Amino acid sequence: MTAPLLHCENLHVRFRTQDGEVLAVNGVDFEVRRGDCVGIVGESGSGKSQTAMALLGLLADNGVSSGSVRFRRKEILNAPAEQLNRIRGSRVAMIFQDPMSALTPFMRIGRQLCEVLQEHTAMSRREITARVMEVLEIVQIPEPKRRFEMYPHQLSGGQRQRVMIAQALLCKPDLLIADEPTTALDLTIQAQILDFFKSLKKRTTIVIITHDLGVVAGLCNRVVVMYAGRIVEQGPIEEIFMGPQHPYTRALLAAVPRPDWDPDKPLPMIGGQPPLATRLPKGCSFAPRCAHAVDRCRQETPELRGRQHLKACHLDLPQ
Amino acid sequence: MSGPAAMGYRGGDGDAVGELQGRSLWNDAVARFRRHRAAMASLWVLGVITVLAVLVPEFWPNSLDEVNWDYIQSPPTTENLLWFGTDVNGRDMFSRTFYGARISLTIGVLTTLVALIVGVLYGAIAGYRGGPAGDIMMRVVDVLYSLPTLFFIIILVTIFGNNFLLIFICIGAVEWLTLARIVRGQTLSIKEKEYVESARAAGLSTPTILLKYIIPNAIGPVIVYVTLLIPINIIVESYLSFLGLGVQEPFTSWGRLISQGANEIGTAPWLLVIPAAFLVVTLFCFNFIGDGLRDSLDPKEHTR
Ligand SMILES: Nc1ncnc2c1ncn2[C@@H]1O[C@H](COP(=O)(O)OP(=O)(O)OP(=O)(O)O)[C@@H](O)[C@H]1O
Ligand SMILES: [Mg+2]
Repeated sequence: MTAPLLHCENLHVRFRTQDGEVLAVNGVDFEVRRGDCVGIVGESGSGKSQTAMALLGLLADNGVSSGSVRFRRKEILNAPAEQLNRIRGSRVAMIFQDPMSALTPFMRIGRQLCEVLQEHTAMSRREITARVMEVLEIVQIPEPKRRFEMYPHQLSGGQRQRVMIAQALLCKPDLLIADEPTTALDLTIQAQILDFFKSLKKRTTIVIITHDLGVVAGLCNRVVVMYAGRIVEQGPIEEIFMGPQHPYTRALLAAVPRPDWDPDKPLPMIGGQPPLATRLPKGCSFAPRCAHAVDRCRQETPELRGRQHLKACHLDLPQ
Repeated sequence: MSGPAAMGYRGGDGDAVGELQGRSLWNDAVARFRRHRAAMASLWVLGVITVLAVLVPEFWPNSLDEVNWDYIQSPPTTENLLWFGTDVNGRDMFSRTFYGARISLTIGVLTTLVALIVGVLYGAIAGYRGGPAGDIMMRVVDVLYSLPTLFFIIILVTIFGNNFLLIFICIGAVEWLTLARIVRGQTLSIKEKEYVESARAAGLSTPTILLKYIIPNAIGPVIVYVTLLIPINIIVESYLSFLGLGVQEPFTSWGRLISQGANEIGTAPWLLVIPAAFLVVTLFCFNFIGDGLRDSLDPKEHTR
């Protein structure tokens, strides 16, 4: 079997804060193969974004990462800035949640996009402009010629997110990481952008971080479920959706309204709060909220086990 | 902030939010600046003073050091083109005032430029690097800050002699400290912004991020401060020349003229009033221009 495009092993992210150390990511292992579309899901604060940021060395000043991240077999975790700058934006591109603030207000859209190509390629000005126009057409932005000359505040949220996607696609990256790319947009625009992601799957490998299991179901072929900085379950999409094994995954799936959902009945909620990253409980982090938890769960931290479909749970729940 | 785009308008993707706003930032800025009456008027006034500062010393019939024996300490008069009167030595004040304008404006603008470039770069680097390195950089600023400005300038002048060029470096070297602090503060908050994160994620190098992403966004408060700094530096030069460190006789500056005029306030008030009036008007002009620039450079400020 060929080596995976991205291989992440035992990744830890810690933040130094006044209230002590925050363990935001606590030993994450996963791999992404060429052509995959991997969804990372989990509650707010489960460490999804920080996992992605750590991969590219983009943590805040107070953050430290450890473990191993190999991209195309090369170790990139905590690599020097020059090496990372050659990969970021060119081999691995990232799209952020809030398109309203992801473009600098003082530069025309076209300039901001050209800047990226200038950094990564030796193309002439004319070639750069041509490539930028080409990508603006790919992302289906209306009237790309006019948008090229505009400033960010002159575009709508959806248009800006298209510009961000264009920026990510400029250098034809091997891997595209999208952190909640549609959360800040309204529903119709969300649907358009997601449709566009479907067509993107043919061009590049995608990792998409989201709260929305619907997005994962429609887009991804693999799912990673995170809870309190750990992966609790991971596997091919059909297996996770048809036969979730971890109680947390089950609870997440049960909390999604289905088409036959009766609005008079309340949705099943996951009781309790996720643990604070400064004070993780002993044993399985989900145990305090888990209806099936036994003593062992509160003592021993379960490891992520399995071949294709992996779970981190001591229990074998019946289907 | 006002208008649909600023309110986070997220209408249909295909709509034309920008239809009415297709002009460039620069055109918009110029248009907004022109509508700023006080700033435009100030620009004209400064323009006239500058033109006179360039032309008068070259072409005015009475030169700045020629003694008019019949008009010692004469009040302003139309005779002999002595419009601003003469000083105690009978030298034409009109000529001297505009020669002073030449020196004072040059020093005001150039020293401010030195301070601007050094302070902005230093502050942005210290803020963006953060961590211990950034802290040390700011400690250096604190230490320099605690030295009394004049003391510092006098030491430099004593070491390097009274060199006209040195005045630029001296004043600039002192004034950059405040700018460095302002810009560092701005940078600390700007570097957390998503557009900087996204620029880093796009693999842009640190110099590019500093020059094209951080500094343009930090420049708003800097512009205002800088337009205050120009008149301040004109006044600092006047202290220096008062202490005998600035321009020397027969050449002059507004600062020198004012300090000399102050000695004759009882007998020849015009010697003080005229250069002081020019200094005050210039000060106001730079202030208004600063306000106008700040408002008009903000791309989100809509054209009204
Ligand atoms: N700079 C920081 N300093 C301290 N703690 C941080 C910092 N950045 C993130 N954290 C903490 O790390 C944890 C994981 O954050 P992360 O952003 O990865 O969550 P997430 O899964 O992306 O959540 P969401 O779905 O809300 O985006 C959170 O508890 C957060 O408070
Ligand atoms: Mg997040």
